[in-house]
Amino acid sequence: MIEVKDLSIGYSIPGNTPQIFTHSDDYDSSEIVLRGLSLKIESGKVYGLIGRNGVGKTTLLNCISGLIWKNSEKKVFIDGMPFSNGNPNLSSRIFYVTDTTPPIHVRVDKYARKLSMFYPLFSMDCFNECVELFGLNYKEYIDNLSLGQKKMAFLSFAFASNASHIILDEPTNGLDITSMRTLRKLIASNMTDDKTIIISTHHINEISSLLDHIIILNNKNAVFDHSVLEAGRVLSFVESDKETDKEKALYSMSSAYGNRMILPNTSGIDSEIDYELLYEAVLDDSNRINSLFK
Amino acid sequence: MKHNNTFRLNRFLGLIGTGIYKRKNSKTLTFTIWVGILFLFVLLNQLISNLEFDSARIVVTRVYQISYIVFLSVPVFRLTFNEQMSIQWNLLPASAFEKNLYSVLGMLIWRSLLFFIVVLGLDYLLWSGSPFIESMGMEMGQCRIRLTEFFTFGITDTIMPRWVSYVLVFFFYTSIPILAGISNNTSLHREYAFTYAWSAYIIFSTFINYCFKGGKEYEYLVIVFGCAGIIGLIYNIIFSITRSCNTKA
Repeated sequence: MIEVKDLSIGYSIPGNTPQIFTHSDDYDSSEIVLRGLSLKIESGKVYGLIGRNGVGKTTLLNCISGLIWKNSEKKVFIDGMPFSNGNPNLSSRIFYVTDTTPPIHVRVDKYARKLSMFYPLFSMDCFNECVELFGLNYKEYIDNLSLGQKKMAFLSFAFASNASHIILDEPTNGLDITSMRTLRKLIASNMTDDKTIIISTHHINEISSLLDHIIILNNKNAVFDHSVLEAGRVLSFVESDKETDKEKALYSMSSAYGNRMILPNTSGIDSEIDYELLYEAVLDDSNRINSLFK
Repeated sequence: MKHNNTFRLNRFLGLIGTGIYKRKNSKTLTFTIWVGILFLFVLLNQLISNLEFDSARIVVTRVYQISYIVFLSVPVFRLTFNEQMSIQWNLLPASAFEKNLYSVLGMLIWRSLLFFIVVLGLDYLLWSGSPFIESMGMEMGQCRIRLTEFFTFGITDTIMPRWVSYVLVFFFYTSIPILAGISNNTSLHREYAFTYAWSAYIIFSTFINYCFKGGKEYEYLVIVFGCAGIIGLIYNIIFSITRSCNTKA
């Protein structure tokens, strides 16, 4: 489990690397990216992290993965222990696939061998399987690969590392349709009760079938943090042209067939989530949506 | 999670290998350019030595000095390795102590190779003569300025043996980046500090070299900065251990 407690991150010097603030009076509100954020990320679930550009998704992931390490031990807890990048036992439980991938002049297979030295549970068989599924060439140099292929290589390292917590920042960027399907297949087949996968994405519909939980960031905090199951049970996503439905709607958006709406779910049957609608509704008025969740 | 000895050994080798790679990778191109320009300087040196008129010699020497500054500035702009490489290095599951130690070791090993083997090796070749040097049309000992003087800023052996000065200059050469590395509190930003420090170092050393070239004053400065470099290295290692302990606490 990953736990984030009262996390505030910002820039003490504009343009500099963000840092974790330990006291609320340490920062000016204009410099803050995330303020007092608390999250509980449970094992055995796939989390979707969404939000506008620049809202702090990558900053949060950088913090959880240990890239922003100063004071992280006071705010981030991995499997109940204070987390710091300096603790290899904990950091080897995390694998972070960053949004941009490095142009390393090393062959894919050699990089995997080097990486395996740092991850005690690394499985070369799993790596080979992932690489084959993505249709990558082992002998290719990483810096010669295209953006999508680099992503595939690092996703293969991530699943082969057998790390308990896999963090993927925009994993679908650059992937073709077939690779996207492969990624979904790999996530589904690699999920176990002791693993957590956090996916930050702007293309939520591409991975929506895998998600167990949704976190929406806005206004420097998590404005929506509920399981998919709970969201489907509490909210009803409908498309209708009836004016009476529109009046009852918590949020509506015009569509080709009338309106896409969110209504309180009173039917007792779980509704299928319209992620785009949910996202827009939460950004519009998160309090109204959250008031239905107990 | 229990680790067996093979895993520990592999991990150690992986860390030290990555530490060197991290340093080496940023400098491969620079190094190639460096060696190429080094030979250009040897040829320029020949030109200065063979000039007959003092005024012409002064002009060419000035051009030579300016080019020399530019030449030394090349590694400054190539030193900062790719930010993505830095992210990958920071994400490696290793302690702060291990990362700092192997980063410093990687830097020292790579700079030792550059400084002691390449520079001193070329210097030896140029001064002792070899078929390669002769094929370039140069005679043994003809170079007016020794290659080591590019790096030792015209150091002489007036107050200390030359080999001592080489060791001190090596630490002088590494002191500021090491000190800059430990003074920065964010790992991502630390690598930029190396570049800033190098820029300051080049400007500063060129200035003092210009003022005190070959004199005792300059050698005193080398002693001071060389010792600062040694202290900086020791401090960096102690700091790494302390920070590592703090992290665990």
